[in-house]
This record gives sequence, structure tokens and C-alpha cells, in this order.
Amino acid sequence: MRTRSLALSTLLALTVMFLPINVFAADKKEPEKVVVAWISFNKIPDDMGAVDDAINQYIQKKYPGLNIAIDLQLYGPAEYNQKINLALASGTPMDIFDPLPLGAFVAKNQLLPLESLIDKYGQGIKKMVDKDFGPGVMKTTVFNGHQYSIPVNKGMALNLTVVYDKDLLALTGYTEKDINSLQDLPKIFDALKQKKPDVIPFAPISTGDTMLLRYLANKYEVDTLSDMSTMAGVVFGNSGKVVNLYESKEFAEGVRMMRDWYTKGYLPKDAATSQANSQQYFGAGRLFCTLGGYGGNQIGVAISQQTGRNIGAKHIVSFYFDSQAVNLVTTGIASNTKVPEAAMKMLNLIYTDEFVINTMLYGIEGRDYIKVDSHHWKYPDGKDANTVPYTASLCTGVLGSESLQYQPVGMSWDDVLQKLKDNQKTKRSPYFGFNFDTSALKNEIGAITNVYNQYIPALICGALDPDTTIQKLNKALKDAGIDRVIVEKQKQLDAWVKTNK
Amino acid sequence: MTQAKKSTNTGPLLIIAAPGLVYLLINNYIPMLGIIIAFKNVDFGKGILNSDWCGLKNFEFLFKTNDAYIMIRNTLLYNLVFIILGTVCAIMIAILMYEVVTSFCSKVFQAGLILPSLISMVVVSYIVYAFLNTETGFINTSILKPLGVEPINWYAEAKYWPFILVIVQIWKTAGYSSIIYIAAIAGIDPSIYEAARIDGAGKVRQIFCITLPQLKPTVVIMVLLAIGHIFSSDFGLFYQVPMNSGSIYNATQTIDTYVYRALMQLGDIGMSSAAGVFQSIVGFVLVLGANYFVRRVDPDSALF
Amino acid sequence: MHSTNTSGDRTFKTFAIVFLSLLTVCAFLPFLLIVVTSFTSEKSIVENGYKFLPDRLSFEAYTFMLAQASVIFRAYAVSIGVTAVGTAASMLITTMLAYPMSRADFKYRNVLAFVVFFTLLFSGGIVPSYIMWTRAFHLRDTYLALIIPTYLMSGFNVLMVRNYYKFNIPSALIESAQIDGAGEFLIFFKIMIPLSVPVNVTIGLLTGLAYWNDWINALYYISKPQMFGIQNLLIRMMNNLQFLTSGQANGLVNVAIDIPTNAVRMSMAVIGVLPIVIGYPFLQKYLTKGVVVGAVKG
Repeated sequence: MRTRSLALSTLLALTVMFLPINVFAADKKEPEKVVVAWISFNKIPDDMGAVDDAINQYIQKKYPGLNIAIDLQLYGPAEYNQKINLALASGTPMDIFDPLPLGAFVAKNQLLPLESLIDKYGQGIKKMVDKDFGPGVMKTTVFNGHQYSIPVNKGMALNLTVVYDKDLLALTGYTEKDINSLQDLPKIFDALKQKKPDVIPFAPISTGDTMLLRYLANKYEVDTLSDMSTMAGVVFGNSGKVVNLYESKEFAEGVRMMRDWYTKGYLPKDAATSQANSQQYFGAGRLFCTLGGYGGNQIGVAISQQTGRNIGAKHIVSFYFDSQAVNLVTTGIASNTKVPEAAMKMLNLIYTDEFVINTMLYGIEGRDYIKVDSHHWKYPDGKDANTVPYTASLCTGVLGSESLQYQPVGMSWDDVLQKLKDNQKTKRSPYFGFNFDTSALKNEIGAITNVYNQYIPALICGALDPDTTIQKLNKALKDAGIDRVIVEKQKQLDAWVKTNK
Repeated sequence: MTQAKKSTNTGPLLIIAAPGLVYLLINNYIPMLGIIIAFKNVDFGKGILNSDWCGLKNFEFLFKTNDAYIMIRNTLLYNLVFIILGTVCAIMIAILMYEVVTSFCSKVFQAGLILPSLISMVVVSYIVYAFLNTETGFINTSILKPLGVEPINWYAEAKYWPFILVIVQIWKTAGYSSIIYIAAIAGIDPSIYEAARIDGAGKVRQIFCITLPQLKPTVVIMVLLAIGHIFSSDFGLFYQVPMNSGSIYNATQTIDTYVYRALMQLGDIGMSSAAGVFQSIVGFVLVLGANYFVRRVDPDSALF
Repeated sequence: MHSTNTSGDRTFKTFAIVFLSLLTVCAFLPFLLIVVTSFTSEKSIVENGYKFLPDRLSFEAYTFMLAQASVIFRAYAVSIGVTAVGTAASMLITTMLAYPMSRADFKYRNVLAFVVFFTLLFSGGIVPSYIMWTRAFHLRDTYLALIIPTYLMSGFNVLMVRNYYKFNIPSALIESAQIDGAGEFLIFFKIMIPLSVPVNVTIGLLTGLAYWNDWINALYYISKPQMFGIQNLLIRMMNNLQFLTSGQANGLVNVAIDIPTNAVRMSMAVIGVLPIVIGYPFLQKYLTKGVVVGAVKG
């Protein structure tokens, strides 16, 4: 009898003792894990646990109500697309990622529509993007009325810039003031060839790409209608009419100019297929200039540092924003995520919280990087990108907001501000926000991509005779079905204009 | 008595075969169910299993193009040349290997057999580039220039590429393939050769009367298998070695490169699966036909 | 085993040596170019292309790679381990499957032949395989993921071994063993395997090379850098390099990089092949004994 009552009272006592703790335990949940898969151009770190922990502890302290935790996964460019596709197809947890190309992931229904989540948990993103970019930029990732991803918040205006060797320019007697358009260059090339015959006057910035198409698109205000890679079916200015860029007189003129340059020896004979890199040619002092698209004003400085030469940069044509210029690099949430709200909360932090994005990029302060002032960082003494335990320093352009990211010592902060200003200044196409739904035309697009690869690199490097080749190109495009693409694009464009004007 | 044996050994033999069969089931047959992807319009919102069927729609892009004729022709012709030339070279190398008795020579030659197969096609493409590029390539600077011939823009002229690609492919695979024939020759009973020698037959006679006939089953397997893949091609050889140069598509575009380029922007999993299914089915039908033919002529050599 | 008698035979032998020498030179030449280029200065490559006798030699490619020496050696260890284990396991199950297929008195031999052959033609693609291996078997980020998928047994090897058993091992041997009361397991281990050294060596070599050259399994299934094999590691590094120095990086990467790309690419090729080049002479002992000299005794 006594044992029983003793037992009972002990039991009672224990229950009372533990009750408060049980009550607390019921309220405290495990933080929801959000898997962020992003691309890294640095060495993949062996162990990301420390960085995960640092971010998670910070979140717990500063935003206790959110109850989320990050799980970072870094993949190199060789495997990123594979890993993303496999993870999405197999249901392996992956919540936040960069869909490249955006259209393909939308078509497969692998992205979660974000409108309602942004309204609830992503207001910070909206404010941030609007501040840095100007309103309306979120439109560019809207397909069929749904917001499928969020543009990475950075300087997008890649103005067409002639990058040139200053010392070689000095030899010609001309100055930077003389470089205002592509038409100004041939006379400079001629002067150069007199002085230095085995320097290449002009080389493509990368294999088979003299940037001619980008130049035409920006100069003549061409909206590529979601098709920067093949430009099949575009709109000039605000004409509202979808046409074949390759039948236009602007294209023919541009190609003829390149052909002229090629025959006069301004371009290397194997420009269309050469693997030589323009940076390397600069470094060897064998190249005078190239045409590229760069944001900000520092590219001359950057290339000078890299090549050891005195490189200048002259901006000749301003960028023109169509949807794809902005939605090339975006971040979205997987459609099969188990934690959509936690994912949006995490995305909000990535875009708006300085500590989170910089820890993701540079690791742990003191161990992986040293903060030099409010906007700059450097490696700890004696260490570099390969020897710090964690760094993703090259990935500033794939995630988050550039206005919050630290810059390496030597890069000017003003330049970042300039890039953001350019975002606001750059002219936008009247069809900014239009995205083309390709699902009905996959066969045609596949065939057109092949035709593009077959003719365009050689044409824009001047290696083929324009008069006969442009004809062949357009015939091949017609056979591939470009007319059907144009008709469909016109249909979708007209419908979009009605609902958006 | 033979009948009793037949039924008693089936059990143990099946057990011995079991590990391999289980592996085939898991590694090959279960994933083969994924072939349904080729016939579906995959919508990941519904999941693969619940997506809509779309019949043969995913296969259309392979045919609704002007390139269809070129890519199929190229794939077929290159493979035919590879099969014939490759087999002849591999057998030749294997037979000649047996003539080399000096241990040092044979060691060096054997190392040479596998070396090309160790170098990836990407690296091979850079080596080819070192030979063929217009500005600094060997052929233009060290051979054509001294002879006073104009440098050739190799990567822009389609007519040279059938030869270039065949040479590269044979270079890369002949040694590796010859290993298989070397093993097959090793299994030939030496006493047959002894008997022939005593009868006065010279080396060449021995090769044609003994070695080659003995190699028949091996050749049949190799050729039948190659026929099974006759609609496939080595992506590295046809995409990377030509440095993805558009001007020479007529000579370098195969089914695999077309599919890769077509789907770069689309990322459509149904279409890429359809391409694979198409290649497999054609190969399968051809092999069945070829095997049937072999079975009529020499039943022992047939695959099945 | 072929004795030379007539002058015709001697001519043939000379022809053989000359021809094979030429072929071997062709096989080694590109590799020599790779090695020489890996020791050439990047500037020299950019200006003059790849040359057998470059203007300026330099160690810069190897200095660059040496900075990651520990990663490279770790990758070597992974590759060697995976190759050794995988090849051994593969040889076992391949020969075990081939044996019953080779027996004329086995009821299902043709069925098995078809089953094996069919796998060489049809494939479901990577997506279903990936789903199965990761969700049903949980192979992600394990060493088994480098060994089991795809390479553990190839239908081609099975058919080769089957042919060898069928045509090169006299059935009389098997029958006499059966008369003596031997069971199938005994016949397999005591007769078939010892007498099939040439084909065992061959499939060992082919499988070993396949494992060594593989970089795809790690691409799909492995995210932990500690588990990358050497080929996978090198492909990743090469891809990274390529991406950074190409024009595409403009939109994504904000800082320029200076790396001796061409020389480094070639040095990567050398590094990927080095262990085999070093280890092959040791393996060759078995090759020569087993294959060229022949092993079947009547």
C-alpha cells in the first residue's frame, strides 16, 4: 500500500516536473530545411557544414520567427544542369535553384508559381529589386500569367564596348575620341596594319562570335522575343510586327560589313572556328581590339590586370532591355518542393540580408575572408582561392543582390552603383515582360537551332560570301519552319499586348 | 542418360548465372521501363507516371527537318566504314602481333595498343586542332607552306572531314579492338598450326586457312553488335573534334549531334528519350535480320 | 608458337615489325605532343600553337596543378580503389553468367543470350536509372555508386567470354569431368576459369580501362569532392577553366582570371593517364604470358 502510493506520488511528481518542458518542446519545432543548389566557378569546398551552421545560427538569432535552416549545395558548371535536372526528375530534395534556360523549366512545369508566396513572404525581394532595377523587372519572368522565378538582382546592362589595346592605338595616331561606332574602326585598322602588320586588328570575343547580332539588336532596338540564342522572329522598335531578322536589311548590311573586314584582313582567317581566346591574344600583344558586352566602367582595368597590357574600353552602343536580357539568370523554387513557404522566406533573406549573401559567397569572416571596409573583402594573408576552406567568390552574378555583395579589394564600389544606375537608365523594349511559350513548336525550334549553328558563326565572322549565303540561310530557315514560329510569336505577342497595355 | 543430365544441371547452372542476371535486371531492365518517357508529354507537376501520352509526337523532330537525310546518311555511312575498316585493321594488328617475339618490341607495341583509348576525345580534338588550325597548325605551317601550297582552312571545308574523322576513329579504336582478337587467337589450339607447318604451309597460308576461319565467331559478334549501334555515333568524335564548326555540318552532322543541338534550348526529356529509342529500335531490327542471316549460313556463330 | 621456316615467313615477320612500329609511332606521337605541350609556356602556345619543339618550356601548367596536389592524389586513390574492386567483381559475375550460356546442354542458353544482348541495344536513359539507384538503393554519395551502375557487367564481355568457352575449351574436358561426378560449380572453378586466361585477362583489361576512364557516374551520383575519381576531377576542372575563360562568363562572373589554359589542359591529360602509363609495364607480365603466348593445352 505504501509502495503503491509512493510509486504514484513519484509518478505524479515526475509528470509535474516534466510537464513544463514538454509544453516547451511542443512549441519548439525543428527549423525547416531549405536546400539551395547553386553554381560555383570556384573549387567545390570539401565541407560546407561550417558555413551552413554560421548562416543558420545567424538566422536563429536575428529572425527567430522564421524557423528555417539552409542546406547549401554547390555544383560546378560541368555538372550543374545535370544535377538540377536529375534532382528535379527524381524528387531528390532541392528547393531553390537557378533555372537555365528558364523557358525549358517552365515548359516542364518544374518551377513553382511564386506570386502568392512573394506577396506573403517575399516583399523584401520586391522592394530590393524595384530599388536596384526600377519597377516592372519582375514581369520578365512571368509566363502565362504566373511568376515563375525572380531575376538575379544585379547590373544587367551589358553595353556594347570596344575593348582595345591602348599602346597599339597610340601607334595609329588616333585616339579614344575617334572610336564612336563600328564604322569608325576600319580607318584605325588600316593605320595599324601599316605600323604593325602581324597584329590582328579585330578578333571575335569568343569562338565564332563577333557580337554582330548583339550589336544589331541593341543599335536598332530589336526585341528578340525570348530568343536571344537563335533570334528567329524578332520585333524592331515598337512596330509590333514579328519579322525574320535574317531577312532584314540591317542584318545584310551588318554581315556585308563583316565580310568587308574579313577580306581586308582585319579579322583572322579562321575567326569562325579559332579556339584562341581574345584575352590570350591581348596578353601576347597580338590583338588590337574586340567587341564585347560589359556592365560598368571597370572592364578595361580588369582586363588590363589579367593580361598585363594597357587595355581601354569605349562604350559605343547602349544596351536594350528585352525580357531575355534580364531573365537569363534567375532564381526559382522547385515545383515539387516540400517546403514552399520556408523556401520563399529563405529566398527573401538571400536577396535582402547582407550577412546571408556574403557568407554564402565568401564563407566565414576571419577564416575564409577578411572584411576590409564596408564594401570590400580580401583573402586572409597567405591564402588564396584554392587554400581557403570555403569560397564562392566568383559567383556574385548568380544569386542575390549585387548592391549588398562585397567587392574584392581593387574593384571600385562606385562601379557597382554605376551598374545599378545603368539598369534604371537603359531603354526598355515596349514588349519588356513578354515571354514566348514554345511548347507547340519544339520541332521547329530544334531545327532552327541547327540551322543557326550551321550558318551564323561563319556569317558574322565574315568568312562566307553574304550574297549567296544569306539566301541559303533563309531557305534553310524556311524549311525548318521559321514562318510557323513567326506566326505563333505574333499571335502570342498580340494577345500579350492586349492584356498588358 | 543425356536427358537425365539435362534436367539435373539446369538448376546449378541457373544458380551460377544468377548474380549476372540479377545485375542485368536491376541495372538494365528496370530502368528500361523509362522508355515510356519517349511517348509522354512530361509534366513534372503531375510526375512522369501521370503525364499525358502523346504517341509518336516526340519523334517528329527527327524527321521534320531538312537535316534528317544528311544526319541519317552520315551516321550510317560512317558506321559502315568504321565497321569494315575497323575490323580489318584490328584483325591485321592482332595477327601481326603474334609475329613479334622479342619481348621488348612486343611490350612497346602492346602499350601502343591501349594508349589512344586512354586519351579522351576532348583532348584528341585539341591535338587535331594542333594539326589542322589555319594559323599555327602543323599541316599548314610545316607541310603546306614549305611546299608552296596555300594554307587550307580545314575547319571550313566539309570535303576533308570524312577522311579526317575516319583516321581519328581508327587511330583511337583499332588498338583497343585488336585486344579482343588477340585473345581470340590465343585460344586457337597450337597443334593445328604445327600440323599445317609440317604440311609445308607458310605463314600467310596459315593465316588464311586457320586463323581467319577460327576468328569467325568473334568477328560475327563484333560486327553484329556494331550493327546494333549503327544509328548511334560517338558524340565526342562528331561534335568536339570538328570544334562544333557549322560550315562542315554536311560531313559531320550525325543523329546524336543534331539531337544535342536541337535540345540545347528546349531541354525536353521526352524528345531526347525518343531519339534514343529510335536509334535502338532501328539497330535492334537490323541485328535481328543480320543474326537470322548468319544463323542460316553458320548456325554456331549466330548470337542467339 | 609459330616457328619461322621459309624466307616467305621471314619477310612476313619483317613486314609485321615494320608495320607495327609505324602504328606504334602513330599511337605515341599525339601523346608525345600532349606531354611536350604540357611543358610549354602558355605564351608560346598562344603565339605559335602546339609544337613538338616549342620556343619556351615552362612548368607553369604543373605549378598550377601542383597547388591542388592533395586533391589530385586523393582522386588517384579513389580511381585506383574503384578500378581494382570493380574489375575484380566484374570479372567474377561476368564469367559466372557466361558459363551456363556456353553449355550446349543448357536449356536456356539462347534465352540468356537474347536477354544479355538486348541490354546492349536498349536503354531507358539516365533519368530512370538515376531515380532507381538513388531512391530505391540510396547510392548517392557512396563509393558503390562508382562501382555498380553500368560498368559492373557489360553484355559485350559476357558474350565474349561465352564465345571463348564455347569455341576454345574442348567439350571433351567438361564431359569427362561430368563422368567423374563433378558438379557445375567445380567444373566452372576448376576447369573453365584456369583454361580461359586469355579472355579473363582481356575482359579484365577492358573493364579496368572502362572504370579508369569513367567520369560520368561521379557526375551523376557524387557531390562530395573527397569522392571524385581522377577523370571526373579533371573534367570538372577543365570545364571550369573553359567556362571562365570563354566569353560566356561575362554575364555571370565579375572577376577575370588568368590561367595558362592550354598548357593546363594538356597537363590534365597527362595526369589522367600517368598511373596507367606507370602501372602498365607491371600488368604486361600477365598480359604477355596469358594472351600472346597462349594457354590452352590439348
